[in-house]
Amino acid sequence: MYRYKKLTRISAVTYIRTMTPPMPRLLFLRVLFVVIFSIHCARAGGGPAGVVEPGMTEAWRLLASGDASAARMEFERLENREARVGLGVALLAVQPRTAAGLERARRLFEDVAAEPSKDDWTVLATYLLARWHQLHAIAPDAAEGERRLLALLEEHAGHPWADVAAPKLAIAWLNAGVDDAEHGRREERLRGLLGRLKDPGAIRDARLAMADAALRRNANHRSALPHYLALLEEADALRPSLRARVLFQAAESSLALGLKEEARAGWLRFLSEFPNDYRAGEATRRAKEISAP
Amino acid sequence: MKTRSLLALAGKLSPWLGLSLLVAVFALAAWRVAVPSAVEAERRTVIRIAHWQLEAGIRQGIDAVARAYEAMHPDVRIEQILVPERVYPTWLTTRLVGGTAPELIELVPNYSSDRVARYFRPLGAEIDQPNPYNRGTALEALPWRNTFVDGLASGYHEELADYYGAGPFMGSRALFYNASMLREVTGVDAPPANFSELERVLSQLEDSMRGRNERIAGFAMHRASATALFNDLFAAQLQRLGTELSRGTGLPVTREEFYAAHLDGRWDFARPELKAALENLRELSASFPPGFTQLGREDASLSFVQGRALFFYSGTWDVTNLAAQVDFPVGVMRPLVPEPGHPRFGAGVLGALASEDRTGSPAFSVTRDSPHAERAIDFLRFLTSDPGNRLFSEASGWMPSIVGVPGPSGLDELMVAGGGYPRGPSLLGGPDTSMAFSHNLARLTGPGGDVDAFLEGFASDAAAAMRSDLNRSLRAGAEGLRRDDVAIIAGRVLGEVDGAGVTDRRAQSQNEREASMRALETELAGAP
Repeated sequence: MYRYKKLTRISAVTYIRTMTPPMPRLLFLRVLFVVIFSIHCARAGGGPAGVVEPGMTEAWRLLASGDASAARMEFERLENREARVGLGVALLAVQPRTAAGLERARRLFEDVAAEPSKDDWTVLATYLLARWHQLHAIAPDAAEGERRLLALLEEHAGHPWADVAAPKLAIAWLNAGVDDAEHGRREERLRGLLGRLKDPGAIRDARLAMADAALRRNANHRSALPHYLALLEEADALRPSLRARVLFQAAESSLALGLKEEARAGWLRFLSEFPNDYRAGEATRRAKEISAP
Repeated sequence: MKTRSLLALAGKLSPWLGLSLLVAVFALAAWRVAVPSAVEAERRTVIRIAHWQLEAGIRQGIDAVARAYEAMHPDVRIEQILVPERVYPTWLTTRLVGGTAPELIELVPNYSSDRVARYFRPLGAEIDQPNPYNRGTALEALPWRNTFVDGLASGYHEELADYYGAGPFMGSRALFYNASMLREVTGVDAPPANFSELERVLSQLEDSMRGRNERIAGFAMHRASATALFNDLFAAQLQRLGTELSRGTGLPVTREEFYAAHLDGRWDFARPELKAALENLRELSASFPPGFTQLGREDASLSFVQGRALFFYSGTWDVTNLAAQVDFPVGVMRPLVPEPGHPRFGAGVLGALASEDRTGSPAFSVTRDSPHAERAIDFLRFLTSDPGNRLFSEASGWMPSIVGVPGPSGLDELMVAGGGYPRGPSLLGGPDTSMAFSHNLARLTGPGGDVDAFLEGFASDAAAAMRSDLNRSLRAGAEGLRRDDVAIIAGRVLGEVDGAGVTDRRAQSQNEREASMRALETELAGAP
């Protein structure tokens, strides 16, 4: 798409150069310049914050499909808040990663987040700043990232861009090497945050992070199982490979807690949904062992 | 006189010769551009399918399905593009970047996630729907995904959290044997039924070689197949240890978790299961040809074809090739690993390995920007439907990928899926750890080699190698997470987060991987 546009532009210039005599050509170019500049200004004025402008859709699509360089050029043509956030996101992905490019991205997010007009782009820029510190910086600062994620969640609870910070915070907090007391405090705080989330995907992923962390830390099936069962209630929300894992794990945790009937039902459910999975033999054997007198 | 006038004429014409040629070539090119090709003239949609499977059978199999599809859809033509394996990755990248890629492409294993996301179309929405070409069959009501013998694991891309293809055949490891030679050595036709019997056959072969000048190897083997066999032995003999190390999952740990557990002091090289696996590997490698680590696939294949080895450890991809080359009867069976009751090597084994090795089961992916993507998906559905896959398997002689489709005769043994036990972890796999293993291998498999001598060298290198592999894996993982962040944010801004969409699935996958990475980082940081 982008390549096509570029070619068209070159062809138009060539056409003007070759087909118009010198004086009219100058006049024509002036008119053309005024028209293009007017369109540019009209687009740069921006629409309602948080809504993707028509001109930006292609740039975000390019970014979603992995063409960061082309997306960057599209975003750079405009100056509004959305374009600046988009440009910052593109800079995170442009290869090779450079300290200068990443620093420019951070400044763009800082600027948008600090501007007086508060809208969806403010929240997204704040989230991106947290991720920048956590993951994208040349030398990530996990603690700073977590501090910003928590602040975002407390300040904008229920906002979609704040909600996606919840699983990130859960992952960072619960997989850290802290003592049991601190781990317990973090779990408690996350449970409180979980109740304030609205985004179903964020709730699901935060639950999964809490369940998996409970198992990894000390095979705590009692903490993990309620989360796994809640995940399974949202039937269509899990992608197949994750659903298979959660189904199997829920049955395994049920057995570990002595809930034999639930475990057996869980493995049978696993087998009916994933009969060709590599764990099918294991599920069959375990279901059979429980059935045996 | 005549010659002189001819030379003069040539002299006069020569300045025009180049120009004339140029005009002629230009005219020809213009004609080719202006006049529609035969395909354009008949206005048929052309679906091109590119792959590197030059082995006997695949081309014929796809051709048979293509002709049947064309008969159902007269406005479509299916063309195959066969590219040699060696140049395939370069060819593929060139075509994708140049915007001239075929509609269906066999993806190279471990192809860059960036490129897969950019150039290929995810099939997540389609695979949960029934395949319409299964109407009237037992698979009619099943989601397309569940009609595959492997549950379409071979088409799943973990990082991108979506299905990116489907394939018409299954590949799995296979053990071929020279049936005449087996009879000569053992006096019976039946191949070994378990690992103990395999050991007995190898011992009988060794006895039969005594006093003879010629040397017949137990196995035709090369570097890659030896690594695969070693992996199978570890996967079987470390099942118990792998499960013991798991944290509440009841399943064996992954290779990375296995390495991390070693660095954390949760297992060491004195473990009897590990020593038994190494001893097994040492004994078995005595039946390999000398210098097997320097041999290539062709060397091993030739050695078997020429009757210089009793067994050939390879895969189903060699079935049709061998059938065309050998002049003795060839049998095929699933590779054997020690059974749980094996007196020396069975202690760590839970049972036969489940078929989760996806080697040789590549998938065909649909190019994102193809104007005929929908038609390409439709052909893929037919190719992997019950009737289409039957046609394919009959014409190709390759193992079908669809549940209930009978395989070629003689390969029934390899068709058994499911029922096995999940694989245990392997020492091999991480590049640096594998390298350390290779460097010390001669101490194990060379003349006078033994397990203790091997471990003396390997154990001192292993910790640093494993740590290096894990750090490499963390770096690659972080790169993947950063890519995800950008794609997920763009997808959400575009409003694609609808609970079942591509962005949502990718976010799920990112969070799962991010959690594993953080846990691994913490474990590594705490490891001595």
